[in-house]
Amino acid sequence: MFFFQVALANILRRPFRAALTACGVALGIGAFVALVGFADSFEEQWQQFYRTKGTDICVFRGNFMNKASTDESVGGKLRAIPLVADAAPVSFDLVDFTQDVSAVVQGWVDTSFEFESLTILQGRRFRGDEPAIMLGEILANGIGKKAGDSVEVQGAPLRIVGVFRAQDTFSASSALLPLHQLQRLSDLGTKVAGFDVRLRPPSPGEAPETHLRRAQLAIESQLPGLKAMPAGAVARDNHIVNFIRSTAWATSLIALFIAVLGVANTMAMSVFERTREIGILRALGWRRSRIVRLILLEASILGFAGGLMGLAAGHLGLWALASIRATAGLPRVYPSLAHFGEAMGIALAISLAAGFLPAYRGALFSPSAALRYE
Amino acid sequence: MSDYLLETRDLAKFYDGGRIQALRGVNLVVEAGEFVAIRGPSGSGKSTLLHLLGGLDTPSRGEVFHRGCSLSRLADLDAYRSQSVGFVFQAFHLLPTLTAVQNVQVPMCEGNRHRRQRREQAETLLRDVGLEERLHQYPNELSAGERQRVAIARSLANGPEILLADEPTGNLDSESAARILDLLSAFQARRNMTLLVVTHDPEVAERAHRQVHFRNGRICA
Repeated sequence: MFFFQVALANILRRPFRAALTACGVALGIGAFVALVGFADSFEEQWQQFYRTKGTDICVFRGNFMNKASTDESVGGKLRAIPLVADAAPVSFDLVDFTQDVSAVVQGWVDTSFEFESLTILQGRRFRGDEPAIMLGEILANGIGKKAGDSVEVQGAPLRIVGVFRAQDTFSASSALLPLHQLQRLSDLGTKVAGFDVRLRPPSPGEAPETHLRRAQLAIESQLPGLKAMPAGAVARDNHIVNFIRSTAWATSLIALFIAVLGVANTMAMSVFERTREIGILRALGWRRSRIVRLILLEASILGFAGGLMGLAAGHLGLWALASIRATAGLPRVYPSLAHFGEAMGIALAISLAAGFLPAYRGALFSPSAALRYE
Repeated sequence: MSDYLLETRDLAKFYDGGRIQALRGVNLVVEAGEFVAIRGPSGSGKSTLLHLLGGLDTPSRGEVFHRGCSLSRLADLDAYRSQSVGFVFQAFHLLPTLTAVQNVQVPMCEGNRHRRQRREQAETLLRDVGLEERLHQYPNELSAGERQRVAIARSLANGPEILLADEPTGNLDSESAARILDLLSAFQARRNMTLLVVTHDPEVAERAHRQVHFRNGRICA
């Protein structure tokens, strides 16, 4: 406790500099919390997108983002595989609904099992291939439309037959069209992006992972050229999530590097200014290791304070993102304990790393030379 | 094995690659419980000797022995500084961010004493130097004499057998200087400590059991 008091007193002798240094750490941690938090949230929403629909495996050719990768006739062959309970063809396109609002329009068949995950808030589902559209709740609010209104998709007017609520933000921000309507409007012919496959339950005693792997192998062996990936893996490893995650980390690392420089500069200045005091401590019998610990503790206190400020700033940033229409609902505004631990761990780690060299230098001072230092 | 508490043999200290010769072969013995005044003009090597005796610096030549054991062969010089030696400096050298009672606790950090014990010990020492009313004052809130009294209390924190004082009255008015001198003499006698005082002040020197005179890095009398 006394040791902590000594460290705290040393920091507080220059409160403005300490505050600025903590702000530097806060900048890095804030960027990390906001950007990496956003990326995590994005991935989580993607996971939920498949989970709530009850999709076990995604089947596609090449890349799952290719909107015309497979012919829809593959569906029959998929359903014939004993492990497959159902296979829903899916397609998508990006559509401008207004000058400001663009959204993904998904093409489904009206018998798709994926309808089970939706709650109809207004109107009804579309039937067959009728020229109708359903809007997700967030999208409907964003463009100010309700069931019974009409919207234009790729130049064609379509009646809104229903507004639905989804458990994931992607679906709630999208629209649904009958598959054949989307194929016609987007010139996809009979092509679809892929199939969302729901598997039959595993045999008694069979591990879910084994069951999933067995189904993957069965699909890929019976439909050569197609890829069957577990939905969780598609959500986790797709290039959009990877791009967002790596961009978030790269930006955060730059901010964290700036924070390291800030703390290192402050600690180096602090040690330089206190050369004589360090000499006094050595003269009074303090070991080099205690001097190192004192300086590292001071750096950690700055890191901890900056970390807390950064967490607050980062969540404020996430809250701000949540209030922007384009990203509404994506960021998870409430922090998790793991995220808190991760951010504080990084704050302390960068502070310790930044404080190490000044601490080491301080410990090397000869007591006699340090006492003579002017 | 030497019977002396402190002994130097051919002790020399050079700076700047040998251009400055602060000490040039000093042989000195100090017995336990002695009060020795070290006198001499500025730059004669008095403070350098004190630093070498206290393990703050290493000699360029020769050796310092504590109870017959060379400091250069000590496994733990920090422990020697912490447990066996107390320092009092002319410029006080208190830590400005800590209160009087906290300053006195600083040397106790290396020991195993409990926080409460440390605090009580520091308060007792400050009471012994007449500062019971000034425990929670910062150094800039104390007079020069009070600061030096805090420094004396700090130097006694770990109950050292040797007290090394470098011009302890050099920055004080005559009244404060007399009080500091009384305190140092009293502690030396009460605790049977060995006290080495570097001083220009003849009054300080007169109280010592023995005076050692330095000139040009050598003992001259």
